[in-house]
Amino acid sequence: MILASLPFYWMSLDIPKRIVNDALQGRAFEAGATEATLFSFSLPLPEALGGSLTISDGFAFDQLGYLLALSFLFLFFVICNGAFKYVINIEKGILSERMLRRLRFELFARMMRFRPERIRAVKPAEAASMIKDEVEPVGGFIGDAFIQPAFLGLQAMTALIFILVQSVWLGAVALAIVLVQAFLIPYLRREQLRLGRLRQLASRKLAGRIGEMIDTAPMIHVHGLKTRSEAEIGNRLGGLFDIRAALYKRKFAVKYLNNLLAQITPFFFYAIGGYFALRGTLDIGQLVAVIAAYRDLPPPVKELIDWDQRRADVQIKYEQVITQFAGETLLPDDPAPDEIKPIPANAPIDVRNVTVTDQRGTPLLASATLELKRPSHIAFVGSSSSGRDHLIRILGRQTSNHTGRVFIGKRSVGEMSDAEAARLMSFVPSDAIMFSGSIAENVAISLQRQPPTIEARNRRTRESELSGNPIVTDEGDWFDYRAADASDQSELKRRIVETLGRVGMRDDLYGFGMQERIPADASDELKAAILDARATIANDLAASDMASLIEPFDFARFNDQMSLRENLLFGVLDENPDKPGWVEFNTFYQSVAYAEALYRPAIEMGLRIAETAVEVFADLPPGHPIFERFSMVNVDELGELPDLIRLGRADNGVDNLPSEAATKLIDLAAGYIEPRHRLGLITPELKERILRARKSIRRHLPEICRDQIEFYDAKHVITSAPIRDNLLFGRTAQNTANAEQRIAEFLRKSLPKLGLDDLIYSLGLDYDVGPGGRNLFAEQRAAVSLARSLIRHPDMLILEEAFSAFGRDRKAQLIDNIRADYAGKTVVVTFGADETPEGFDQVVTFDGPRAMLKTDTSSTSQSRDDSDPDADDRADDDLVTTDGTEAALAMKAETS
Amino acid sequence: MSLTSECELLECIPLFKHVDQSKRKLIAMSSDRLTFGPNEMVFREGDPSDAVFMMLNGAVRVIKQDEERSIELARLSGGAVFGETGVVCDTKRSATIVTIEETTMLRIDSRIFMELVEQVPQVAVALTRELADRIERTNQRLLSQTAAAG
Repeated sequence: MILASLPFYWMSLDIPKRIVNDALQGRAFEAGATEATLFSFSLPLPEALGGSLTISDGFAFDQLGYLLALSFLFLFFVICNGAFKYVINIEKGILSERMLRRLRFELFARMMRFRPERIRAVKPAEAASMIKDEVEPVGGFIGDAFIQPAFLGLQAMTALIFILVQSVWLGAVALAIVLVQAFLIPYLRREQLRLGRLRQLASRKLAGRIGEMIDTAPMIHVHGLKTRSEAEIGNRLGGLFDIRAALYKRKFAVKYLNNLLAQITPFFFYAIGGYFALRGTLDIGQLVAVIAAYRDLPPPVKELIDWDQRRADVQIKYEQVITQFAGETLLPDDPAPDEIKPIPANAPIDVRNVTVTDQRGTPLLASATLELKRPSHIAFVGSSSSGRDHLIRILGRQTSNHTGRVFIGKRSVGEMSDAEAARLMSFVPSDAIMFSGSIAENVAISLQRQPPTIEARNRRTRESELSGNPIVTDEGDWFDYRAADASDQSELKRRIVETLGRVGMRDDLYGFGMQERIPADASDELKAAILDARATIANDLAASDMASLIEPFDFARFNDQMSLRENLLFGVLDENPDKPGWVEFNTFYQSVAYAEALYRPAIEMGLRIAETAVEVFADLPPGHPIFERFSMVNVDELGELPDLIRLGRADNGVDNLPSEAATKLIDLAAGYIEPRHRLGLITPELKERILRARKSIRRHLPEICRDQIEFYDAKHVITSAPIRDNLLFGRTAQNTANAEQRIAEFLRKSLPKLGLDDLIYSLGLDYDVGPGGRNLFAEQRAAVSLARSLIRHPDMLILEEAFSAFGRDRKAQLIDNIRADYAGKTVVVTFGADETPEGFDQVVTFDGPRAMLKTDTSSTSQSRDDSDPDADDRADDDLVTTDGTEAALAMKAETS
Repeated sequence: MSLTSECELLECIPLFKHVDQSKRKLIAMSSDRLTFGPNEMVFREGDPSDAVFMMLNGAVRVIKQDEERSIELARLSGGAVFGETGVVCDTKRSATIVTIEETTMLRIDSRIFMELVEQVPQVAVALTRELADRIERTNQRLLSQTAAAG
């Protein structure tokens, strides 16, 4: 493309010469000719073939027509040059973006292959910034790296050759000037860059020192160091001034030289070229063309110089980035799924001379050598500071920083690829890792290992291939249903519910489901079933002693269990400001509040709530679960509350509140529920006013606002309200002892009969766990983390303190459940030094860095190989030494 | 009874005596205020320890079930805290609590209580002090019983 552009460029330089010489000066019309021919082409051939082959006889023009034809031809080549530049720039940009995409992806993919200890050392923000920001100029430059010098260099060379063709002397002058520019300017610029870096460093140091002095200001005052501090800052500012002054001098010297060289060349052209023109060795057209060609020469040369400097900068940046990602400590890449050889379920775990030391060389795990039979249930018993955690983490591939070898069958644990290891085992850490999303997403993420088939290749897939990215996207169905014993999404949902039930989260799931709204796409049958259930539940409750535990939605009565807003509207507000009618609704809402004398009480309530929130929550970290659960304000709004309080508590503050502040305070009051928040803000008079306002809203709500509120209606399903409200058509009395538990129990018993329990569990799966799982309690997070591993039924389950969030009883229950489910498979569980695991096939006890194996063949697990004729000969509860030939070995432990 | 008056009552409870007013409000806010009628069971021996109770008023009986009979171990009234040992040590309820008269309590879920202990150092210190006091009192009782027996 670049080469193809050059003839067009040459022509755009050549035609002005012809315009001046042939058209203006009339060289084409010499000897009294009134017409001249243009666009005649002939192909020179040997005499034997006829001399020449005429392709076109051309067109005859008079002088004005000739001038116009050449001018339009010039315009044509100018347009062609522009088009070439456009296409080349577009291609260059696409190449840059493609390479940037490839570079970013390769860095990310490489980071994903870092060994565990290395990835733990990576600072997430730094790595993200490196992949996102720092490689941007590198990727951006890749397009320029070859195209820019080729395009600009050839363009400059064309212009230079053109000048040389017109006049060797003028060409020599132009070449000399270009050479000066090409060598002197970069040299001067290098110093400019060095000074720029120096300025950056000095500014950073100055900022650091000022910050330090602000921090230490009390000490500076105590010791009278103000003058000394001022002198230091003055001195630093002076140093900065010197650097900046030198930088300015250099910068403008370069600019001056550039300008001088650009201006001085035409001087030579006018003087020398004019001299040749006067002597008749150079015609005027050539001189004009040379000057025009030279005008085109400096920009490419200047851009080439800039390109060289960018190359140097980019090289430094590239090397910095590459250093962070270089190194040989990488996990093997994932092979294709059909290339993974399954590891036999009975392949033993072979640990040979495994030693882990700390930085001072003290052994944390000393020469552990043991062979653990598979399948079996294995307990690692020891304190957390013993070798227990190191060995289980090595087994779980969470660290590879050890000597010695750990094999499962013929495969080294540390050398397995992620795909191979994930097929064999699952490691559950003590800290549950949670992603933003629903409970179902957090559990089933472990099954997303089956890339969906690509239906048809399109532009996106082709682009991915060209950038070295995966052609499959994260959209589509990635679930490995077979691993979860499911065949489709609905069956998978049932498996998730079952698995969560096995880790004791069934009730929690039920509770979450009750808080969720009815699905937006709920069928009429489902809505009818909910209404039937509502009626049945109301009858059953009325017939029991629990009727008083529910405060029903009644238009004529204030409901203590509802928020002020819910009481006022007697419905659920759709708080979508983009919905038509939102502005009108707010105006109407405020006018009702004024009319029913609710404005001042609402502001006063808002102020009391703000004061309480500031007092109670001010020193809790943002995002703290207690804050999330009990605060009446959003975490983002907490910082604004002191200002609101100051405005509201000023003299006549309530009357002079800006409307935005008033709205915020009214919003705070709107969420208030007396039995829950208990600030004693609801008086009988206020209840009366709210009931009056409720009637006004129902009566006068403008038509445009009808969609803003979904009113509570006993005959309809309220799609904006939680399913619990829909079923009970009321709220549980929060201040009656055990009311919540009794009603929950009642619903748990009733709903299966009404055919709605599957819906509730399914809705519970949609519960949002919040960022980092903050909407869940610690034990719920741990349960989800366990379920994530259990759902894919790995051959080997490794549980490192996975039960630390649970109480003793629940831990024992969970271990029993898991062991029952994992009969015939391998489970490795850690226990504290004071615990006595029962029924495990093999128990490895850790005393400091030393490990000792105890094999219990009387266990209830099915891990024993019943076909093994020697099994009965092995001693129960026996310690076996490493030099024996027994399958179970005791380990030698040495401390150095 | 409002949050403020609950906080005043919490101030009378030794466990929270040295805790700031704002933290007492946080505890009250994290709790449910429940009213039990006379002779209502708060929890039964052997139940999971799922909450801590702080008595604001009223009275309860602490009952231990022997093989054949129920033994009343103690009576607690306003200002008492119970259930925290089971929550902290993660053991089942060691006794049954039954109200004697209408009783109002603050009930704080065990998971929230543990989060408060973890996140609010004042609550952790107060709890540690209370548990240490109990051990000390038990030791003193054992000593005096041993001396009396000797």
